[in-house]
Amino acid sequence: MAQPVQRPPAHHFPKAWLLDYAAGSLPEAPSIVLAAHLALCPDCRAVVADCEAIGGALLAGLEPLALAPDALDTVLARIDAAEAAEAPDAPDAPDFRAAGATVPPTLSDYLGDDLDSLAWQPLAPGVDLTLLRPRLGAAGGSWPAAAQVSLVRLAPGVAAPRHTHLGIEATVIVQGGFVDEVGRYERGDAWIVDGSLEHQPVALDGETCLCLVYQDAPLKLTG
Amino acid sequence: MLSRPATPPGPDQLAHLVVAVGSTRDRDAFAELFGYFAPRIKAYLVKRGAGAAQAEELAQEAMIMVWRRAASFDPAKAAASTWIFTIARNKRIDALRREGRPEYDPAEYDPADPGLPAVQGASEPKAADRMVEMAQQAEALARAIDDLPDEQAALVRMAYFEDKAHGQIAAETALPLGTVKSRLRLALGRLRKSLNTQGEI
Repeated sequence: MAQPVQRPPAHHFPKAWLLDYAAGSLPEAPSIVLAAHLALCPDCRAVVADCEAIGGALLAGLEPLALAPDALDTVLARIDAAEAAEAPDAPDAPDFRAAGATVPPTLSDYLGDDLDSLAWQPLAPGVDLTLLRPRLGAAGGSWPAAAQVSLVRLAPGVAAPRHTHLGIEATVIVQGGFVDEVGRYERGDAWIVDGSLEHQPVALDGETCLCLVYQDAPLKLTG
Repeated sequence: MLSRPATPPGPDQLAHLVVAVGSTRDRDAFAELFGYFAPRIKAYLVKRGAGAAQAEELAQEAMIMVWRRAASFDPAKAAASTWIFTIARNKRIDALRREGRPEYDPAEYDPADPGLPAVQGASEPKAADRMVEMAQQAEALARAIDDLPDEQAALVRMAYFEDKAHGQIAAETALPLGTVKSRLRLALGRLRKSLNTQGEI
């Protein structure tokens, strides 16, 4: 079976989102969607790297605030104690790729490694979705009540229900693609709208479309 | 106990110090890094809402992270201050906001994927040259931040130091969202220019 031709994303997040993310001010829910775009977009990764350099320059420019006089000794003692007790940090690599999935690994923290085993809720014929939850869950993580992140699955060629938005919606295509009244969106592309745009995405033929969607307010179906 | 250097170390010295910690577990180098960065990380955390005791504890934890991860620091890719900023930032998100932070990690991706390779020229400059360039960039960037128009600088500081995403800045300053976004974009454009035109000055 022929692999679809892939290209770097053509549709990006606004710079203000990238700066918020690098600054550490973008909340977790929209960050999930933005990180999925970054995973597929070298241009936006370069912007984020520059925004982190700005953070570094701002940090270096801060007026220092003295620590306790014994802070360095305390830290060195903690380092010694930790190194005596355990091996250094080993990165834990999710094996999303090994499973042959195309979903960015940042998502495996939220969705696990097997998309088929998720609780998919039917939305319309050929359209279903599964909700992502805060990663820290009961440990204290929570999102604003109206904020929602979902993975939406459109069967090839299927039209999603026509809808408009009451707030901000940010979408990143993680597999396949769709067309709507405005344009054509494929893997890695970001689609951001704040309010008022009514649209009806239609999945491209030939491949199931997976979209990661952040909303800060509910959708409104219009037809 | 080491005596403090009279003048603070410059970006190139800071990068050498992190490399020394990473490659030879150099405790003197770590002490110097600690002297420079720990009080700034503490100041950053207090600005972003930590109490004094919590900021002290988190600054210590961040410096322990610096020790542990120093070997992964690549002086050809980022300034030491940039790398340590990301550690402090993530530490704060983890401890103060109690949220996860989804993060892109190149090690987890298929290198054959066209979306993934970093944009780079055919011939990579030598690492030592890149390191000098990074240090120059850090200095140029600091100057460019000082030179930002006040209305842009204020918004940049809110984003970095007050935990305010652009939507929240718009709500609290009563500026239209489009104005906030365009000022941040303009500020970013100026600051990125200072990073990219290095060497031509």
